[in-house]
Amino acid sequence: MAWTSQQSARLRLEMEILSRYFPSFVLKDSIIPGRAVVEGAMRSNAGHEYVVRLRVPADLPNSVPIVEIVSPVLRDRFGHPLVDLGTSYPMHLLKPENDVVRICHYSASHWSPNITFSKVLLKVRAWIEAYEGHLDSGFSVDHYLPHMEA
Amino acid sequence: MENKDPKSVQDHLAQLAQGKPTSKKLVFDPRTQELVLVDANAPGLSPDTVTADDPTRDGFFCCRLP
Repeated sequence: MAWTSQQSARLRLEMEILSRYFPSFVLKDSIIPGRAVVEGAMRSNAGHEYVVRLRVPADLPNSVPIVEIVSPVLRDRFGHPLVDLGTSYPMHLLKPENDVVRICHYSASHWSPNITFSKVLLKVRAWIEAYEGHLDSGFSVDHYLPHMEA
Repeated sequence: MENKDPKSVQDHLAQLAQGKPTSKKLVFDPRTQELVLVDANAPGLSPDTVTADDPTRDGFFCCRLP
């Protein structure tokens, strides 16, 4: 199965927007729906680099994309890997897969097809800053980033 | 005046998360990839600058554990 023409146009639009706001992000494996990812680096204000991967949903733009932090291996303030937390409400984490941390950003119930990858990545950028706040202060990530209303 | 100090940015995020008023606005500068605090009514921001307060205020979803 291939992308529909509307999905291909949407992917082009997404990448056009990202080239302006997150220029390091590139589209990989774009031919096969369900395997395409958008991957790039983000740098925190403190100068630490994180490789972020956004999995493009096969039913683009109707589902929430999964977002993972591929590197470095994230650890909490006490040195424990974040993947060991599994789903974590205070750290805004979804259940990890393949030992990679997954950030919870939008819920399916709050998702709208007009939300762009750029907006998702902006939230991930805020998560990174909050994560570094956790490393410094010991407060969990939700001290810095609120939970969505149910 | 701009402020890129990580601690200041994190304090601003915490204020937003707690619903406290702030005179600052958090913006994302795509040129540097930094989150920057500016005065809420600051003139002269780059046209490419993106306000980061709103997506932050939207909140983050995560399943509550039973």
